[in-house]
Amino acid sequence: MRAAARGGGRQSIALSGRQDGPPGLWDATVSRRRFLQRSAAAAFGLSAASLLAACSDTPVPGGQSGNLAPGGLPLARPDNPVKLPIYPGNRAIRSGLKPEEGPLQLYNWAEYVNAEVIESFEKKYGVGVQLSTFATIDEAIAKLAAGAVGYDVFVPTQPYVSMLVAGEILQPLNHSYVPNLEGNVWRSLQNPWYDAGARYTVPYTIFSTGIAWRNDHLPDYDPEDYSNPYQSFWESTEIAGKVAMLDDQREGLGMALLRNGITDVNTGSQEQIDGARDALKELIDRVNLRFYTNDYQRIADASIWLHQAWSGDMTAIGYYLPEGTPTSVVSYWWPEDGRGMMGNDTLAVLNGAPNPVLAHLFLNHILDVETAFLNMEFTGYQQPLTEMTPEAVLEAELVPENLTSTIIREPQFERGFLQGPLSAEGMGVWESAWSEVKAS
Amino acid sequence: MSQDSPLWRWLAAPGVLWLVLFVVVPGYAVLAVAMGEIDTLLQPVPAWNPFEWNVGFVKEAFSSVVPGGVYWSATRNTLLYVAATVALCFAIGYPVAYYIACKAGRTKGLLLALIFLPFWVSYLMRMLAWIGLLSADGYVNEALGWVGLGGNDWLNGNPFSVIAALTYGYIPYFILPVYAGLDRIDLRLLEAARDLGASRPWTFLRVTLPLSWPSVLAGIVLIVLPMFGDYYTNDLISGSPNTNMLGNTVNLLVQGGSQKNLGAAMVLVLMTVLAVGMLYYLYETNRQSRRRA
Repeated sequence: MRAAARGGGRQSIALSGRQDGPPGLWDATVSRRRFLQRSAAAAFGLSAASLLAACSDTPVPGGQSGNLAPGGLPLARPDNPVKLPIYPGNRAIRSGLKPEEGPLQLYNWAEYVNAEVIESFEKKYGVGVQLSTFATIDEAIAKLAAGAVGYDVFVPTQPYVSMLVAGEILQPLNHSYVPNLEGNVWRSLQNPWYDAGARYTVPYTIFSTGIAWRNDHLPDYDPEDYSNPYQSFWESTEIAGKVAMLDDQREGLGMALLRNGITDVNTGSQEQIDGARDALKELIDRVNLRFYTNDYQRIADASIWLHQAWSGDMTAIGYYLPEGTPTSVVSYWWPEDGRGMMGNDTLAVLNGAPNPVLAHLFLNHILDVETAFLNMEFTGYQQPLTEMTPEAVLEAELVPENLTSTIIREPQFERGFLQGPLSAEGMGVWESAWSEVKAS
Repeated sequence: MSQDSPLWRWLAAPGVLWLVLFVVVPGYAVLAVAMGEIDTLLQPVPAWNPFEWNVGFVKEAFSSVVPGGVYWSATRNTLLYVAATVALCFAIGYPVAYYIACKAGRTKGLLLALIFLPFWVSYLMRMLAWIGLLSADGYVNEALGWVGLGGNDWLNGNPFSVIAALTYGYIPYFILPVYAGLDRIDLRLLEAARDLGASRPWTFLRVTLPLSWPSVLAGIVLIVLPMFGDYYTNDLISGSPNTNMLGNTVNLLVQGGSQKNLGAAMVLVLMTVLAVGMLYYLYETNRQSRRRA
């Protein structure tokens, strides 16, 4: 029997910034300025180069929330790819080095890698691997920021990458050890906009955020019947109490943005986020909305019939359904044209890793096609590899036939709305909006 | 050895050390985080030096929990649920404690053990068991169905379920001190009251109840303090934003990336409110013991 997929761990992948109280409650601008000062002052030893970058690009107060990510680096966007800086004291390792003796220290989300994948790496290189896990990205970053040393490989959620680079928590990659990046990964993610040139990260898993429902309880429901499919949540008053959203600020507010017709899921606009917040507050009242991160469990036991859901959790739904319930009772919708919300996690080598060569080799191992299928058997999550098509995943019996919509195709990905870093100010806007939603 | 030998004072040393290590230092750390800043990795930077304190978060926290504030509904829910739970604990717990202390006779030990028994099961497990009982097709609805009251949605953000679960979870902490207080009452005082012509109910109202009042207050303090910080009962039994309590708000803020400073400030708000209650308790017990002396 396979262990629970990672779902539960996603609770806190939401990016967050400092809380800006509602206007008038207190002088929010002072704190915000202090925050930015500290960003520029670089508590974690930003180099002169990044300081210059930060200074030349000071956000305009009151405007579209600036264009700096927390940490002071320019804010990456699909139309504005960012080459993350290389700092003088933090260079990539040289090519052609021999692997260390290990053991490799992997710092990963709980339940987010197949033990057999680790075993095959151990066998291949004759080294041991020690796995340490975390449950929330906050917890992990707090530990790494406090100077936890000894880990080699880290699995940061993508929106946090630029911040971690600015804090010199990650070390630049030497691609000569990771040929599978060029060999197997989707072209667009070999050179992603959030990390142009894949200087610090290679992609781990990718997922879409769509709509899951129990078609045995909702035989007449189809998101496609609505001109805006997300609107169907607001119209589900008849099944109040059976409707849930992911307990995650980026997903929850993100879906409300899409429902309001805004496709920039990384927006920092106060007005747009306020609109999303109000929509969610309305939704809470209309359908007695619940917030969960265990969408796979809720859909499986039918305590929820209509759930905003992560694709990977639905891919693996068969493992959670009660005995005798066929996977065909679950449906998953994500726009066929790819114009829906997506997120991804990355793999990186930590600055100061004791086994940097092994760490690179581990990254390469994960990007191996065979490994990726083996890994998906356990995690349920797809990797953005050219050979990992819906057809291939179906063929490998890793997804039921009626749920192949949970697997993203490369052309869809190129049109999709990928969650990326928020600006330092934008984070405050998102965070306070989400707190208000959760406190309503 | 004389009364004021320094040895006696040294006996307090382990307690003082404990207090400093596990109360004063962490308390000051919370204060320093609440008064601190945030760094480039969204980690709170505590301000250990009072001259560097930034009161913005604390101000924000205080203004958010009053009527009109962002978290007012959480404050309101907390006050309502805690008050209702205390009332229920008193209504159920006092008679139980009274029975065990005054009427149980030889079964006293057994009854006390039974009160303790649920502690052998983890709090989370006991709450999870409630989910089974209260679910739509659970035993509670089934039983109510026999009298035509079935079909209730207990787990759907229902404040009554939260109050019931809180009562269930905390009532043993109320019963035990009340039992101890009742058990200590000098029976000769009750006899004296009867001899002087007081009826049984009158004896209870004028003698037993006032004498047990300090232990009732102790029981209330014991259950109110943790309830103000409780969030998991609510998470498990409700999961709806509509029943949020302040503990849930602190949990959200502390786990919410860069809002840890505000979360710490919110803890300070809670501590301030609880300190007021605690001072009343100390004043009251002090007055009682002085009266007795």
